[in-house]
Amino acid sequence: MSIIFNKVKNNSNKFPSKIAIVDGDKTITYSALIKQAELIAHFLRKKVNFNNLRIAICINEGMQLPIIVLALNLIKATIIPINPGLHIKQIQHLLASVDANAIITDDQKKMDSNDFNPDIVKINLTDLLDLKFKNDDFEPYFSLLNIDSLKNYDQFLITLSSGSTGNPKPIIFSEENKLARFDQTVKSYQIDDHDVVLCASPFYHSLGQRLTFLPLLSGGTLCILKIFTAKNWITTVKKNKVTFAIPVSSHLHEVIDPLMEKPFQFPSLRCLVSSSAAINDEVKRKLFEEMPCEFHEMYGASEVGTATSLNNSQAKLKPKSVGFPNIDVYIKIVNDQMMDCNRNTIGQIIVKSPLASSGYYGLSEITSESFKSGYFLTGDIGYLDDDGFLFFVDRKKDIIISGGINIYPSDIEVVLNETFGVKESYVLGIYDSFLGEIPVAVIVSDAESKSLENLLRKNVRNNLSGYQRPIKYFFKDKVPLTSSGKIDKRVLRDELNSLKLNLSSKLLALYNSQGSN
Amino acid sequence: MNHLEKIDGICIKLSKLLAEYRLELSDDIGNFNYITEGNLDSFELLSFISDVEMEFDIQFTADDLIISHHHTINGLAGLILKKY
Repeated sequence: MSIIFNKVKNNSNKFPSKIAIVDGDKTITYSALIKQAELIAHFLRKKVNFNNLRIAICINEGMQLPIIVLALNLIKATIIPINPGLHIKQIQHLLASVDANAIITDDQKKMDSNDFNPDIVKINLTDLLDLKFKNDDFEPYFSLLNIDSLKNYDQFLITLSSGSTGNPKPIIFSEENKLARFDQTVKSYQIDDHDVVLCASPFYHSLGQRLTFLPLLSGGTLCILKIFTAKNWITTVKKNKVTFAIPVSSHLHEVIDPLMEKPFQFPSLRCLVSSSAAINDEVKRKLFEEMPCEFHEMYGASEVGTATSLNNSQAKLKPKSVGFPNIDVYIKIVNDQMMDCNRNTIGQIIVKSPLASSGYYGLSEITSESFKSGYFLTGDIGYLDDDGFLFFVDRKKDIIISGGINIYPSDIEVVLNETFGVKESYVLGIYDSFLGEIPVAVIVSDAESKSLENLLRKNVRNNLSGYQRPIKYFFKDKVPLTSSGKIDKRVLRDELNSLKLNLSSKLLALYNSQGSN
Repeated sequence: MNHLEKIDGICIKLSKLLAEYRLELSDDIGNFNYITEGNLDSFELLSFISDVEMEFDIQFTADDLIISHHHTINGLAGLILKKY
């Protein structure tokens, strides 16, 4: 069964003329959404003649994305969302890592490129969207296709969490898995068909997927915000009477002042949830104490979903905690030998959850290293207090979270190290009040720094996505080392943070002068 | 080299840089607005400003960038020339 499609179709039967998706000034009703998804599904089934459909979606955010996703679900294709901002070489690398056999794109350069494996079928998004105009009298005849005879549908969606240049980590989700996460969100925040859910995260991010499925499965309305600025967010919430949103923490930091300025100007907003990274204490206090709506902080990971939640009343008792484990979720703190730590002792956070992914596609060894006895090793450092509340302390894994996007320094360091003249390179995230963290590079080299920096910048422009490009380069003769002789990024990060660079101030100046941009 | 020639030279360098951001510029490069027409996301925009600073060995301030006149290639070139 294509359970997700059928659930949305049930909503279409109940509310055919209800707005399912709002995308700027465009809207689509449930009945039109289902009709177009069926049409596209039929077209794709004829165009891509594989028994095992594994289709990458590499298109810009917008209403078209959920339509395509429902179509792919109907034909039981494995859906592989890919960041359209990646370079073609990076995309080809990702396609190979997940054995994709087709790609849907809205970029003519990608359609024309010879860099893709010739066996991969390229599908132009425009061809799919044009279908509605050519088939106004289309009646769904999809039942003619023998969908149920297709493969066992245990890989509904694959999220590529890392490694656009290194080794990707493709996280496998079954339909049941995404539906279980939907159920958890519905129960945690009492979502129903009256809700208007704001999605300001990209679909290739697991949060974007959750916020897309949540309203469509519950019969509510999905409101898409393609480009985040505080002003856009505020305007969209007001105009569309948004009731529920899960902003990433950097977005929350940005909207907090306009929200607090006139909090009662948002009567529709009944629940806000913070995700992706810790929010600072002052923002958290304001949200819990001053917002006239429910606020929750959560902690989790793409591999296991939401693991803990902190609500208003719990926050009064444990303001610095990231919450109490959700129902059926088990959290332990372990030391380097994987032995359980005592309460209030810092160690690695490991999580056992019925919402966990089955692992990484094609990476059985990494899957078994990451999941031990049913627990996922988050790579985060924290502790549980005497009452079982979780406190997040730091990340153990070498990862930067910028604007809610996970950035893996090793992906960037590979490209920097290829540049002539570089002896060693280290990428780390320094604190930023808007994006949370911003990647910067520390280079060890004998070469003249200005000409080398020019070369490095050119190299990353040609080989890495926008979010992976270091914004600042530091040149050093040597870097701080740990007692075991490894680079001590923590010391380096503290040193660079002490410079208080506030790198995003220029970005905010550009946005603020543009009003609604 | 007179003022206009200098501005033209800077505009050419900027358009080459923007081409590396996968942007297709029209013939009217000078009036191209890299924010509203560029379709650059936050990361790309931040990276672009940082690349321009490196390329011309200058530093912008937030006050420089809040002025919308500086958001066209011509306007940005004028700002760069002032900073030289």
